[in-house]
Amino acid sequence: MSQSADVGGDPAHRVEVPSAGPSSVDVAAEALCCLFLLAMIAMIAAEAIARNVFGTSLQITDEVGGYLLVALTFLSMSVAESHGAFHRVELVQMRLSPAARMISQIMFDLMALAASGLVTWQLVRLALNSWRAEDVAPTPLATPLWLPQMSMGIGMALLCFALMRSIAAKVRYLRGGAAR
Amino acid sequence: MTPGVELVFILVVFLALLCAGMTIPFAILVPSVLYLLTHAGLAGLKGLGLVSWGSMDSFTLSAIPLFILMAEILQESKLSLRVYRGLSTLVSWMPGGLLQTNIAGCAIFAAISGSSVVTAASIGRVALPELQRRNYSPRLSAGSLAAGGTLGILIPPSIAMIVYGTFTETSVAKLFMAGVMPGLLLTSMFMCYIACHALVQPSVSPIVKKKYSAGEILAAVVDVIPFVVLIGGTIGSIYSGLVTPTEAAAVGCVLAMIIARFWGEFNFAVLKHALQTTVRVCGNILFIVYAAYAFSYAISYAGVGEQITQFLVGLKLSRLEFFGALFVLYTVLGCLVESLGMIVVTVPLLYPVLLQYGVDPIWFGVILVLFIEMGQISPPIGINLFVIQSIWNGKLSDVVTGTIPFHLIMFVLLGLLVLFPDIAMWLPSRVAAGP
Repeated sequence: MSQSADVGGDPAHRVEVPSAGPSSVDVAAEALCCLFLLAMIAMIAAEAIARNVFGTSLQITDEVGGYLLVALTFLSMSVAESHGAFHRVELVQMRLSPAARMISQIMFDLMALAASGLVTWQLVRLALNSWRAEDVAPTPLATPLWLPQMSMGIGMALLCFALMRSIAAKVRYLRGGAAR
Repeated sequence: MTPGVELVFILVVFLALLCAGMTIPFAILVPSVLYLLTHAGLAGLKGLGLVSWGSMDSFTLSAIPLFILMAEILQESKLSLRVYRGLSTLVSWMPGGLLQTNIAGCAIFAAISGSSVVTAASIGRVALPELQRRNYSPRLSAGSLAAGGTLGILIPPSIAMIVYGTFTETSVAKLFMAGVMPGLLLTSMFMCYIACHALVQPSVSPIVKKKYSAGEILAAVVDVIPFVVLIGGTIGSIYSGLVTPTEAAAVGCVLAMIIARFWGEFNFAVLKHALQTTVRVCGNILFIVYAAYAFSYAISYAGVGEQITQFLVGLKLSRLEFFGALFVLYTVLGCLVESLGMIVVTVPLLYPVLLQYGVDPIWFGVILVLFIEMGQISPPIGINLFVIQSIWNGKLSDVVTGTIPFHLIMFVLLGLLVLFPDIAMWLPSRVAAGP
C-alpha cells in the first residue's frame, strides 16, 4: 500500500498509526493558512484583472504571493503532521506486528525530529541574521526580510512540536498495549 | 568515502527509509541533512536557510495550492456528480457505455485538477456504485478509472509539471500546453480500446438501447457546460498569454466558486472544508517540494551532480541508448518511488545530462509525466490502484489486472512521443508570450 504525494482529499491509509491529533496551535495555524489562501486568490486574481482590464499592475503580487506561499508551506507542515496527512509506502509496515510497527514509527519520528530540529535552527538563524543586518526586499514595498523569513522558522518549530506530540502518543499507545 | 559513494549511500538510505514506511517528505529530508552532516559536519547546514528561502519564495509554486483548491471546491460542491451524469448521457451511444464516461469524465476533471488522485477519486466515487449496479465488468470498470485518473497530471493543469518546471526553470505555461495533445491522444486511445473491447466481448458492458429526448440531451449539456467554461477560462487564458499559470489558478478558483454557487452545493461550510483539505494536502506536497530542494542542495554541495553528469556523458551512449537507459530507470523507479519523489530525486541529477544530449526540457517534461502516470498504476505502490480499491468492494488484483491494457497503451503513446515529438511540441510553439 502506498500513499502518494500527488493526492487530494482524505487518503485511504490501511495501516493505522495513533496520532496526537491537532493541538490548538495547529488549529490556529490551519486557520491562518486558510486566510493566506484566500488572500492569495484575491490578490493574484486582482492583479490579472487589473492588468488585462485596466492596463495597470498592483506591483506587489509576485513579492507578496511568494511570501504567502512560504508561510503556507511551513505553517501547513505541522497541520499535515497532526492530521496524519503525510503519506508513506506501507508495504513493509502492513506486514509488521502492531508493536514492531509502533517502534519503527517512533524511530522514524525521532529521526524526523532530529532533522527538523537542525533545519529549524538554520531557519531561525537566517531570520535573525536578516533582522540584525536590517535586510529589506529590493522592491517598492521594501519588506524587512526577517518578517516573511521568520514564518519558516516558526513553521518548522511547530512541526517539531507536532512530532514530539506524535512520539508521545505512540509511546502511550505502546505502554497501553503492554499493560493490556 | 568519495562523493560518489556518499551519494549512492544517501540514495540507498532514501529508498530504505521510503520502503520501510517513513513518511515521504521526511524520507527525503533526513538523508539530505545526513549527507550534509557526513560531508561537512554542522558547517554543511549553514546554507540551508538561504536555500529554503530562495527555493520556496516562488510565485510560480503558488499555483500548486490554488489549483488544488479549485479542484477541491468543485469536488466538495458535488459538481463531479453533475459532470458524470451529463457525460453518461452524451457518450451513451458509444460501445462501452458508462466505461466511456469514466474516461471522458476523468479527462474533463483532469483539466481542472492537477492531481491524478483527485481525478480518480472524484470520478471513481460517482462512477463505481453505478457501474456495479449495472453489472459492468469489475475489472474494466476499476482499470478504466485507475488509468483514467492518471490523465490528471498529463492534461493541464498539472502539479507534477509545475514542480518539474520550477526545478528546471522551464516555462510552466509551455509545459501545460505540451501536455494537451498527448493528453487528448491518450484519452482517445483509452476510449478506442474500451470500444473495441466492448465490441469484441459484449459481456463487459451491458447494452442499453435508450433513446434520449432533446430535453434530456440539453440537460446533459447544461451539466457539462460549467466545466467547459472553467477549462476554457483557465487553459485558454494561459494559451493566449493573458495570464501566467499562477494567475490562471487564482482566476480559476474565483470562477469555480461562482460555478459551484450556481450549479452545485456551495456555501460557507463547503468553502471552509475545501480550504482545510487544501491546507492539509499542501502541507504534504509543498513539504516534499521543499525537502527536494534540500536534497538538491545536498547533492550539489560537493559537486556530485557535476561528477554524475561527467560520468554519464563519458559513457558516450548514443541518444537511443540514453533513452533506453532512461526508460529502464523510470519504469523501475515508477514501481518503487511515488510521483513527486521520482521528479525531485532524479531531475536535479539528470537534467544537466539531458542538456548535453540536446533533449528539449519541455518534451522531456511530458515524457517524465507519462512515466509517472505509469508508476501510478504499477504495483506494488501505484497510488491510483489503492484509491480505486479504497472506494469499491472488489479485489486489488482486479484493479491491477484491469489497468494492464491501459499500461500498454501508455507505452504506445510513449513510443509515439519519441518518434513524433511534435505531438507534444506543436502547441507550446504557438503559445503567446505571457505577461
